[in-house]
This record gives sequence, C-alpha cells and structure tokens, in this order.
Amino acid sequence: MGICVGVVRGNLRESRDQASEAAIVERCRRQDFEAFGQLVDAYQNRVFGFVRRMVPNAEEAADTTQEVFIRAFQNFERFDGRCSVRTWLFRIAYHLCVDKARKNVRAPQEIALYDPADGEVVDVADSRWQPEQIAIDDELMEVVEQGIASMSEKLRSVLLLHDREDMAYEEIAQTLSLPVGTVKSRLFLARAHLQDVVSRYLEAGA
Amino acid sequence: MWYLVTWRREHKMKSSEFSKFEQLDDQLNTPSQLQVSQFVKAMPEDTLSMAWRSSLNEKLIEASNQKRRKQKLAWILRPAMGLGLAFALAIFVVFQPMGSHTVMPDRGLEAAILTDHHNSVLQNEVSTAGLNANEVVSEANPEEPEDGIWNDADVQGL
Repeated sequence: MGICVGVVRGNLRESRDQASEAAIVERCRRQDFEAFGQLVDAYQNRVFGFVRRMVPNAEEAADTTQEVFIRAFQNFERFDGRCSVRTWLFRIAYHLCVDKARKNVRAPQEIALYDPADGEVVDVADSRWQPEQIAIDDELMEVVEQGIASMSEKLRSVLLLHDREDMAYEEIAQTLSLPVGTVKSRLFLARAHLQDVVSRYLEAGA
Repeated sequence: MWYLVTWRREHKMKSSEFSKFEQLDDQLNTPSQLQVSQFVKAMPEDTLSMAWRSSLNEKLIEASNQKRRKQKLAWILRPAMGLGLAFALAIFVVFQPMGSHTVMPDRGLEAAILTDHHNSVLQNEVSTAGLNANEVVSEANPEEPEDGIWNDADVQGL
C-alpha cells in the first residue's frame, strides 16, 4: 500500500511538473519575458555545463550559452512541443557547438577502440581498476575533465547528455538526430576512453 | 521473451543485429562502465554569474524589440506592396498598346463606295427623295411637271 501511494505521488509530481512546464512554454510562445526567465533559471547552468565541455574556452562557452537562449527566445513560436523543452534547448546548444568547432578546427586525440557493433568484444579490464576503491577527488575530476576534452565531439556529446544530464537513449537520439543503437555504441566508446584515461592516471599515481 | 520476439519483428532486425543490441546493453551496464558514469556525474556543477544573466536580459530585450520592429514594418509593407502590384497591373492593362503591326490591304475604292452609300442612306432618311446628289432618276416618272403641280399619275406613282 505504501509503495502504491509512493508511486501515485511520484506520478502526480511528474504530471504537475509537466503541466507547469506546458504552461510556461505556452507563455513563452507569446514572448512572455517572465516565463522565459523561469526557463532560463531552470536550464542555464545545465546548458552551460554541456557547452563548456564542447567548446575550447569558458568565455566562448558563456557567449554560446547566451546565444542558445536568444535563439530559443526568437524561435519559440516554432517550438511545436513534439519533444521536451530540454531536448530542444540541448539540440540548439549542440548545433551551435558543432558550428563553432568547425570554425575552430579542433583536432582532439582519439583513442581507437574496436567497435562492439562489429562483434568483437572490447577488453578494457585493468588490474588497477578497482571501482570501489577509487576516491573521487579534485585531481581525479581534473583528469576526467581532460579525458572528456580529449575525445571527439561525437562521443563527448553522448556521454554528457546521458551521464550528466540523465537523458534517456531515445531522448539523446532525438536531440542529436541519431539512431538509438549509435547512441549506445558511442556512449560505450566514450566511457571506455575515459576509463583508459583514468587507468593511466592511476598507473602513474601508483 | 515474447516481448523481445515481438519487438524484434516490429523493428525487422536481423538476428545478428538484435544480439549485438542486447550485447551492447549488457556491456553498458558492466561495473566499470557504470563507475565511469559516476565520475562524469560527480563533476562539479557549473554556474553562471549575475553579470552574465544581466547581459542576457539586455540581449533578449533587444531581440524582442527588433522582432517587434520587423513585424511593424511587415504590417505596413505587405499591404503597400500588394497595392503597388495591383496598381502596376491596372496601369498595364489600361495602357496596353492597342495597335497591331499587320499591314491592311489598300481598300480605298471599297471604302469610298461604302462611305458614299452610308451617306446616301443617311441623307435619304433625313431628306427623302429629291435632294441627293447621287439620286438615280426613276423611269416610272421620267418627267416632272415644270410647274410643280402634282397630277393623279404622280400621286399613284408614289
């Protein structure tokens, strides 16, 4: 009985959130500044977190984040509600970042791994990899950030959207206009790359 | 199991593709993969300054004003352009050149005969017999009485 009540409440909370977001979206379509301000409050840090890891420097990331919201504001009447506002905002952010990356001609180092879709199993087991013993500290976070920066935008975008933004595979596929299978394989490769980077850090530390 | 079979049929996947799909799902849920996802999740949240927000607000106001100006301009320009187009079309239709470049054959004699006949008909309607220059004298009354007095034969001839 307690579980049922919990589920019902959870559903009510979700439906309330969806209803309030729908109301905000409707007001944004009518160029309501206050409503759009609420949307910015809800998503500015998350969009910035994504953009900051997709473009070279923080200043450019801040400008790009502003551009995301300006474009969203200018084109809100075209938002048809087929996807969520979050998907739509991150889609704008992704495309802006890709455009900027093409202009900057950035060439990250990519570590080639076998594509598991080809049937070969990627063996990334490492004797030093003992997950329960790795402490998450500032230095490790720095290593993780460097690892993310060193992978291609294709892998980075999927990793950030799934592991940081908790987007489902289908939502990521919609955001990036990819098949779900491609999203999963890119996520696997991104995590494997990051695991390799962290392993080397641990090895150097040991 | 039944659900998986149905899903596979719906998506028309080959058996090899489907097994790769399943394999990928399993691989994504290994402890090492999940641990890496925890590292990514543990990265500190990024925050933006109030200055950034103020700058964004200014740009949004400017974008909104620009949009309103464009809408006002479109509201004025569209009917004006429509009227201009209609006016130009009307001018073209009204002042379209009428003459054709074909050369008419010389019908001077024909035209003269027709004009003469037309004129004589008109004169007949107005003045009846007696005053036309082209009038043909009828044989039924070859001579008119000199004194101008009409006799019975003249009246019956009418």
